[in-house]
Amino acid sequence: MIRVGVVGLGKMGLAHTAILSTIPDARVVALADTDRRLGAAVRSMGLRQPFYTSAEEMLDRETLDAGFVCTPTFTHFDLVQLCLSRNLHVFVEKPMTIRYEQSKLVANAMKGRRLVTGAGYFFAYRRTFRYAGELLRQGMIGTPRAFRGVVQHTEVLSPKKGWPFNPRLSGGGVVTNLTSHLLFLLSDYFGQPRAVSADLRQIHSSSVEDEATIRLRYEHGLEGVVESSWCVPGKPILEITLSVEGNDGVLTVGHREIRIELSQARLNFPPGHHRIHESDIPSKPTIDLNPDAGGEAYYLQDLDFISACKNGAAIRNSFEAALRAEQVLDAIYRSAQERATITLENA
Amino acid sequence: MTASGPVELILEADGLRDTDKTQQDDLSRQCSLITTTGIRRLVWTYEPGVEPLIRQVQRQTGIAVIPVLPNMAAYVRDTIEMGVVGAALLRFRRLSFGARFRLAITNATNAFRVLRREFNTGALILLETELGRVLPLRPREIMLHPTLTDFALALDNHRLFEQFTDLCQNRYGVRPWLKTHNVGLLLPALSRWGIEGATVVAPFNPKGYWMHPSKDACEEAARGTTIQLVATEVDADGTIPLAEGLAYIQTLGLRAAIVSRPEPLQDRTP
Repeated sequence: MIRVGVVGLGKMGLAHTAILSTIPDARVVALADTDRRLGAAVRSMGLRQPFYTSAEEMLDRETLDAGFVCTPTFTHFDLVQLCLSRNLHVFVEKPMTIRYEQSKLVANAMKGRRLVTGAGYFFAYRRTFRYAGELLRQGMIGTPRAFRGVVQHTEVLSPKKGWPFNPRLSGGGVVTNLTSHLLFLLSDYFGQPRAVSADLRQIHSSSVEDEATIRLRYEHGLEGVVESSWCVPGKPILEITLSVEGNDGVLTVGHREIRIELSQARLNFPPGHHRIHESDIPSKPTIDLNPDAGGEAYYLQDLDFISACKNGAAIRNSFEAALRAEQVLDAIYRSAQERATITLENA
Repeated sequence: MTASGPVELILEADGLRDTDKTQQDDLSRQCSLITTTGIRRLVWTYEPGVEPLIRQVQRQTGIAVIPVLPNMAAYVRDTIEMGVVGAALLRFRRLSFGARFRLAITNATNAFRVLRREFNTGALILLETELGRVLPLRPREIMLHPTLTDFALALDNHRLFEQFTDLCQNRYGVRPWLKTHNVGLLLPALSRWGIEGATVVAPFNPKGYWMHPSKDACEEAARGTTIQLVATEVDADGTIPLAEGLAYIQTLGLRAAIVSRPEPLQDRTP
């Protein structure tokens, strides 16, 4: 049994607490949030665990195996380090920290330690995106030559307040909060780009970007563009689509399905058009708190983390994998600021 | 158990979303389709922008409206900017004076619980606030939003289900419906908690799509319950013919299904 303490009881903290409560090998044994009034609220939801207003106090008093850090991004660095100092497995909501340098410090601190880490890039567990990665790696469309990613959400249709719209607290706008999911997938599918350039635009926000156009160039000639906006009406659920063009066809993946157009037979698929719906992709038994928002993937992510804590297996969205996405994230902001193409070190 | 007789089709209001209410022809066509296909009930997740369309469709067809409350997706979105209380107040301000007064009176004894941020009380007041807008549609059933259902299920929060059932039956005289995506867990839990009288709405289709925790668990739970069940996602997001899905749910003893668009009668005969 993996004993978990959850820090931060906002939307994501409560979601993880609920999911972990359904995983047989996990037990949420303590909760912490700086807002004292939340103690009574969570008790009334059915949560009977001890409640603390300080993560440090929770860690001092409880015997834990893992910490889930679900607080606003600017607090991640200190809280993750606190968990690591107590030798706990750590899961942190994405992004790992507000700056790449901090994320690098945290990820490097893990090297050589037998602790499991995870960052909330849960798209890695969405059926269609996971399977699309497998198909691309198996050469379904031949060698990828170009891609176009689109990230759309209805989140900012007027000036907004709150920490997510303050870059010193959140790390950035639409790119940090939403596009980072696609950057994680691209890193998983294609490795690190050699060069990154980006235009960031403000539509309603005054401190963070609302829209972005990102160009990525990889070794072996692969190039791609990502268009991203959280000011799109009619998209109450975050939508990510990625279309990849290869030597032998085109693969387009979205939340519900994968569409493939093949110019020649590949992996037992004849030439022509193919549609793979998410219901055609096998999955483990899961609990799903919100299928429209990818609830199954949240469950699989937490299940994988808990299983790794038990048996030491690798997980898809470890700190190491997350750091690769956050390196690109950093390059995007530097490119926009310097109005130049950024070449990635160690790409 | 195999159900006898036809399956009742209930329309999901999303199917009307594309209707151009400014074009009388378009609206009339949708209403005519509802009438000719024999659809008598409409499920609608409350959204202020769609309200005029729903009212118009009800006026023209006499269809009964089953509101899905509270709209948790919209509420959670609003809390990001306005906070928990601000988002609730926004909904309160949409009510007529009479509805505000009624809500205040009926919840006067809950003031302390609200101040203490008692979750169930807050969630049900939020539900009642949105219900204040849809009561003129004279609903006979109220469906609890699946996010709330499944969140409470995960946390073993049986009090929410008891309070919701009580609110529906004793305060508003309507039938409680619970929408879930984890019916394989909810049905045994309701039985364990001794909660009766609610209809459960959940995905059922031959592919097992959105049937959690697994198709086998959902089928076993459906076969072993006396609770009335209504199917959703019968055509597995359009990947199988509706008739195939309807035939499947009948093998589980289900007699009603929520569909996303009015279907001509011949297409829904299994």
